Amino acid sequence: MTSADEPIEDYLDELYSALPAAARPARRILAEAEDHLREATADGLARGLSESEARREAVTRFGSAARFARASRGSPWRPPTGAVLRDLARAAVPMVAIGLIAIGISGGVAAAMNAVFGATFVGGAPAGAHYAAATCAHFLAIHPGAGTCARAATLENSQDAVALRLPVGALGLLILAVSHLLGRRPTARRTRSTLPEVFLPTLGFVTFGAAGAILTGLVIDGTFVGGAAGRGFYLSGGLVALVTAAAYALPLNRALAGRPLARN
Amino acid sequence: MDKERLKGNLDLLLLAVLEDGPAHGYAVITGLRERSEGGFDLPEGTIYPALHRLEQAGLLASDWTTNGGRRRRTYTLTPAGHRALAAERAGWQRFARGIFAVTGVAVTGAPA
Repeated sequence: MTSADEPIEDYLDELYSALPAAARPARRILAEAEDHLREATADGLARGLSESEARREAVTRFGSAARFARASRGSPWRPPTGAVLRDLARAAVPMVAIGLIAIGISGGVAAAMNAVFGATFVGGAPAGAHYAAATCAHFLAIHPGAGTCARAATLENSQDAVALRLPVGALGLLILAVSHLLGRRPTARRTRSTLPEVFLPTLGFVTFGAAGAILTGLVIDGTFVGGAAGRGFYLSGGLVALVTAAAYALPLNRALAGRPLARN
Repeated sequence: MDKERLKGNLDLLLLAVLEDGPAHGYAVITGLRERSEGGFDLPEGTIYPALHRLEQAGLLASDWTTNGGRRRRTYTLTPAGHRALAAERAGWQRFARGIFAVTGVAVTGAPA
């Protein structure tokens, strides 16, 4: 593509981002607009214009991309509420599933921490922590070999960090698989999202990044940690959340890199 | 002719241009400009939503054709489109006769 192509390419980019959500009409409008602009350019060349002048004139004569897209949707246009809700649900389902899977993975990380650093790192309460007699009795009944209430509580917390999180991860995998299968059905309607391309990766990056920062920050600060469990209890979740946020940063970077630069 | 008045009659004008035979969007806008001797000079993109609307109303049919390696959408007047054009023409003749009778305006020179 030469630099003289840019007015038409820029115009089609602008039109593409403003077109209706349904894929088929959007493709048709884009194809017709491109054909029109190429033919108008050929006409301009035949009248003696330079290639660059002919392309600029073709774009100018075609009229505003935003107005054209608005007219193509019907006027006055508002984003169809149903389509926005559908796209929000489509964005939310995988994100919730990924959140649940992240919790499950943090259970695996907690299990690894238990194995490497011992149960106290994940489940150990701070010195002086007090448990009610009934709670102690409950812990000792589950862990009769622990000897003390504090040790039984540590074992129980360290095991809970694994046993309660892993099934949550399995539920996330199930939701993701069902959502993927439903999306692959031949009858599933192909539509362009009404949400900006950067929406989902931004939401994922911010949500998981904030969760990771808070959980890891709590461990570093140490003020709030230890009420019922050890540092590993929070650190396992914080690390997985930060890795998940980093995974969202990649598509976010791609989406931002693919956006046309703002024109002066 | 001012743009709003032109837009109000765009459907009739598009049907009339397509009465000559199937054409793609660029040929329609060129035909409109030439037949009006440059008087009807809309932003060219304006005609596509109108063509799509007429197609949805069943007055036009369209299909992809390939010409010189280029894929383009060609529009054709349907029988319902022919009937709608005839009815619109008759309506315009009555309206124009009334306007001429009241104002004494006669059509001279190039359309505008």
